[in-house]
Amino acid sequence: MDDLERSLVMAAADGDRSAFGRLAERHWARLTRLARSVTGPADCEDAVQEGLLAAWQGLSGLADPDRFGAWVTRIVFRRCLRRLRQVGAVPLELVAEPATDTDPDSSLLVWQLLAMLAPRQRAVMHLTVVEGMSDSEIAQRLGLRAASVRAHRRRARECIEAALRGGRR
Amino acid sequence: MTNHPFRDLHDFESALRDWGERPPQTPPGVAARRLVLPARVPSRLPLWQLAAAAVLVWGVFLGAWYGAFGPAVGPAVTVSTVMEPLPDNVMVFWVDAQTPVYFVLSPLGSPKGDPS
Repeated sequence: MDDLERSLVMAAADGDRSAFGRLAERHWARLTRLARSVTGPADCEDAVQEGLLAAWQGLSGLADPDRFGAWVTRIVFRRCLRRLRQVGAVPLELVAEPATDTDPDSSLLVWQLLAMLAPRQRAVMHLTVVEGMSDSEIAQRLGLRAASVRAHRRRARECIEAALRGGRR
Repeated sequence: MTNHPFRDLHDFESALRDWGERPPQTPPGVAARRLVLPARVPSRLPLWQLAAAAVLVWGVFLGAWYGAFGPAVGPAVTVSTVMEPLPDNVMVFWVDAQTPVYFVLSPLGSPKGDPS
């Protein structure tokens, strides 16, 4: 974490709304990418917005400003899980893709395979493959143990491989 | 799942990386401006703090009640417990904590004031 981010976190914890707005801006893309992998493209931005509002409410309780990134990620991830429990699985035909997408078929297929996994497995796959995080970093962000992260990833890969073998038949 | 373009897991993870790295539909600046931050709700006290406060209040109340209405423990009891044993023909009544009154029972004709 850089000094600017630390000072923004401390100012936001003291009630500075513009400082929190700048924090939201800095983390928006990263959080939305994770949420998209967990809830699907249709619901991800709502989940991140809810998570950011919850983070604003609870920020004064964050003891270590240096852990803001991991802390807000965990909040957004839990919001994603809650939304999935509330709305159930996202029908694949409702998955909206950005207009800038050059290969919508490939995108839909990625999400189709990802949607076969449990939400925690999707998050672990996202943070491993897209963000390139270590097991301990992922564990910190998702509120899991490192051994659980490895188990989720192994099961996710087995599931994807089985689906790919089935698709080739 | 039919006719997917992924040959193996590596192929899929490569596509996942491309898919996952795409920018969000709403740009960060726009999203941050849309965020309407409500007034902060005061954080709730942890349960252990509430329990400790309740125990403290109950203790103070109990102490005050006991002091006002509890059984009186007079100093006479304390004094009597440290008194030396009296002879069989002597009775003592306490007027107050410092004032004992001795009654000496004796046969007729014996000298007055002799307790033995």
